Amino acid sequence: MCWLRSFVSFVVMSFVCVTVVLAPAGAVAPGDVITAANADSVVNQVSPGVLWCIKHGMNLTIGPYKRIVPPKAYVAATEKYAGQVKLGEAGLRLENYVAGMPFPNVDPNDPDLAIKIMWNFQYRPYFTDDYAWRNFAADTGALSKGAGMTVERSYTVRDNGRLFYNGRLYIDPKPELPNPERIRYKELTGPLLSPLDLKGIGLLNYRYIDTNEQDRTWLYTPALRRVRRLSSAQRSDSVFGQDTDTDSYMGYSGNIAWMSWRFLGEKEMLGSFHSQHSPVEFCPGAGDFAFCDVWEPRQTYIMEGISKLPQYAFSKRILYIDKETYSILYMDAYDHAGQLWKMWINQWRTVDRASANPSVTVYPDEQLFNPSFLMADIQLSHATRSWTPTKASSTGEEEFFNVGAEKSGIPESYYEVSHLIEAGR
Amino acid sequence: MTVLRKHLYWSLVVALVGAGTANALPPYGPLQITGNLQSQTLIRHPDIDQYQFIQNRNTLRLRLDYEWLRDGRWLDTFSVPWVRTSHLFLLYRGVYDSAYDIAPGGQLRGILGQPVGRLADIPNGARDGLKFEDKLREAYIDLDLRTLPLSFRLGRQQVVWGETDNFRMLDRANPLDLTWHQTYESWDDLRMPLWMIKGLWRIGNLGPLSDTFVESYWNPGDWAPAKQGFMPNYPWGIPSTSPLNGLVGPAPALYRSLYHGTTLFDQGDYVRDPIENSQVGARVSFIIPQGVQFTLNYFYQRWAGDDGTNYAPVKALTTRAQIKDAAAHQEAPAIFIAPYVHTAGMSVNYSEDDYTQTVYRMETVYDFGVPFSDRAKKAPLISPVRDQIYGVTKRDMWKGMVAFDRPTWIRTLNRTSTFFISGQFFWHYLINRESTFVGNVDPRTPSRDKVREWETVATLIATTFYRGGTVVPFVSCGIDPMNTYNMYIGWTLDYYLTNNLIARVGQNFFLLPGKPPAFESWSIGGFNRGRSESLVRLTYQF
Repeated sequence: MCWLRSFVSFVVMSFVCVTVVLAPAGAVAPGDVITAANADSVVNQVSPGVLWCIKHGMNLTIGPYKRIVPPKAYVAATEKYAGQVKLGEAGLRLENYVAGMPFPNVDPNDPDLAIKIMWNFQYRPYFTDDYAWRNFAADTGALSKGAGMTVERSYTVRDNGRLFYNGRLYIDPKPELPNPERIRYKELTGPLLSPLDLKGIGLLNYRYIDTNEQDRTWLYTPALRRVRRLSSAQRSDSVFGQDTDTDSYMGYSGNIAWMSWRFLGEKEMLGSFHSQHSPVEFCPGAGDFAFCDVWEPRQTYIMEGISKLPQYAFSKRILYIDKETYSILYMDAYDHAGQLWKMWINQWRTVDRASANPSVTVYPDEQLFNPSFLMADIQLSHATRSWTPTKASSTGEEEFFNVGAEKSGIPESYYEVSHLIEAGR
Repeated sequence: MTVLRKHLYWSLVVALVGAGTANALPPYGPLQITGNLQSQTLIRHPDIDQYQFIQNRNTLRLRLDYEWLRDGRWLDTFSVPWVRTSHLFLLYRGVYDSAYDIAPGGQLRGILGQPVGRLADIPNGARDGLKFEDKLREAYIDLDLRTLPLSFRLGRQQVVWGETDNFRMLDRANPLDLTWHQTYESWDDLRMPLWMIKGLWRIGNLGPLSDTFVESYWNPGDWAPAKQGFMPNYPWGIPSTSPLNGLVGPAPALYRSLYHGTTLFDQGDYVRDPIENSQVGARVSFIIPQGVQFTLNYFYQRWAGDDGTNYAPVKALTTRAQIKDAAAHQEAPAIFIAPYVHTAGMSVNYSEDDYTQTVYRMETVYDFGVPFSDRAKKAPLISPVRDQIYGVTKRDMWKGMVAFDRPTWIRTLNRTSTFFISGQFFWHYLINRESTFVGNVDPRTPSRDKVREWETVATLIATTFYRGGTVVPFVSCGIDPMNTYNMYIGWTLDYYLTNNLIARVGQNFFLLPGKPPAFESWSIGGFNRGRSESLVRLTYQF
């Protein structure tokens, strides 16, 4: 049985590789609208997961490609420090990294190409000092073909924030906060504001610079009224049983050392990087589980990650990484039988301000706002969508890049276990 | 008080109307009013052909979260520059249990199967007090200072420390209300919130230690022992009638009260003020570089009597002078006691992710001077409670717990979510136990619990999610290897009919292999003998 599974996997992967390398690009033009009726016209320009969404009602409005220029400070740091960066032990450590992109000039013939792309993804632009996604909503529900999403549970969450400790470019101290623990970033999610049975839940995660170091995770559980230590093996498990898992956030938020990476190819794919709607507009009718906005051709790295962790939910992930921004267009995740199981789509919006009249900041460079994302369980026809700002937001400004932890509304002291206790009831 | 209550009712009405208005209050923002309405029905089935309706508890919980101070501005008006944020929290709970009005069924049964009366036997006046509850359970203000790494919580609150799930060890700041159902209620509902001042000092990195903080609380007198009730008034309370029936109470009882006006499980020989009834606790928490999180804890509190210890709540008067003094005041020659106890403790957690993908938890405490009934300390012959209630001897106890939590894929049962499996093992060790110590079930029954040197209990739970998190099964079991392997097995199933409407069904079974039953400390089987029950609960949350 094992040999049969290996053989089938080999055939499937060979097909994927051949498809990736040989498939023609540019089958669509600006102004086209991709629906279930003409989904096959983009079969080679989207992932199998996105194709499934289109066939279930998601619409893509095709726009022209627009170049995205990384922030000036990031470009300067890359120029200053990239030359000194080297891969360390087994490619899973960086030596002499300070800030910026570690490997700006990746060579397709480099045997370390895959891991270098993933290091660039790890230290991608925009997410350098601190990041906050605030007052966001999420719906989860079953999809029935032709009828859209039956919302089963709705959540609202006050904060998702990351405080980066190294590679900092804007806020002093830079390029690194005092860091005796060698932390890469701390991430806080919570408290959940609704529904009531989950109100107050908060999750804190520490990610370390040394990729051999496992994450440390704590969860404040209001039902117990105490902070509970979690195993980082749970990061691929579904959150509250709905479709997302913490490793899938932003397309991939796991430790890059937890996967064996393989470069499958570079290709022009469709991605939504210049969305026009904030708050998000969901597709009408059957596609209401997904955002409806402008998609454009993007040069994309296609990466395969096979988990090294025995408890991991997925056998592999296929990441579609934008070559200019190193941000993920979408991600497909496969089960242990090699079948497509779940998929993630990011909606990106490249602008210099969150809304027409921001109260906190107008950025000197364009930032990559993330008005919504979608994760669907293809096998169960079930989806979770999340978005901010919501229509209830008074300013429309709920996403912050590198403005300083205090200004973003999530002070540095919130990224500690003690804050989970303080914020709990 | 009446005015306050009227205001409360009007607030409730306004809040409910507000909650019922679509989008009247968004789920986020500075002011949030949320809550739930819950109806819970319990059927007791001690045997396959015996059924008894014992509870129909209808509960309203109403919660207000008001972030009235943010960025140093109170109500967006007044500048309070030294405070970063402040938050007002109110939680109201109102209860009506119709079982006291309907009063169905026949005799309730006690621990030895003895009849203990019917719900219909409860006098009408007493029923009103039992069927209604009307409490502002929590009311506190959070203050997070801007210039100092300090925060405070001031008001009526719960303080929960330690690593145990649903057992008491370091979680002892708030005594339990054991007149609520022990098995089917969350401890959030069982703990009695108390007026306290709690402070947390964020230290952060301290040498090689990280995430260091110190937390402490002071309860300036608003403390009461664990609330306990007897049958038939509380069909899920202590499984017997009150041993003080006929002895203490209004005429024709022999005595007006226990000695010095104390009342059983309610009021000891002290005044509830800061001088005589203060309680304090402190802990320091830190993480060592290897990732192990420690807390070191200290408490100086009165003995609440809710951690499973077979302690002595009542002490017989053992001198003739005291007995005569009691008689002169129409008081029984016994006193309810809640002595101060020093407790030192520690908790540890560690996530081992490389090999076992398991979180390990540990907790231990050392109690100094816990009171035990000692048959060697008999009351004099003139005492009417001689050979029923004894004097008290204090002993130290060592208690601990080791536990594991593991998310585990069992793909044959659930392809989409792990099973969260958690096991706990508890022990109590009574240091220098005397063979004359006697347990504390009911002095009138022929069997009394043995006070053992060692008591242990093990628990195991598993839960997972189905259908996008809308179906949540939960199974649990507990076994007491020291007391004839008394066992508890239970399950619940939550089904989210909508985002706001949750149905729960469940059953508990208590299995007692040994005869006669052993009356163990933790209520696994002996204490709850004959209390296997089924539950139906409907919750509407808003």
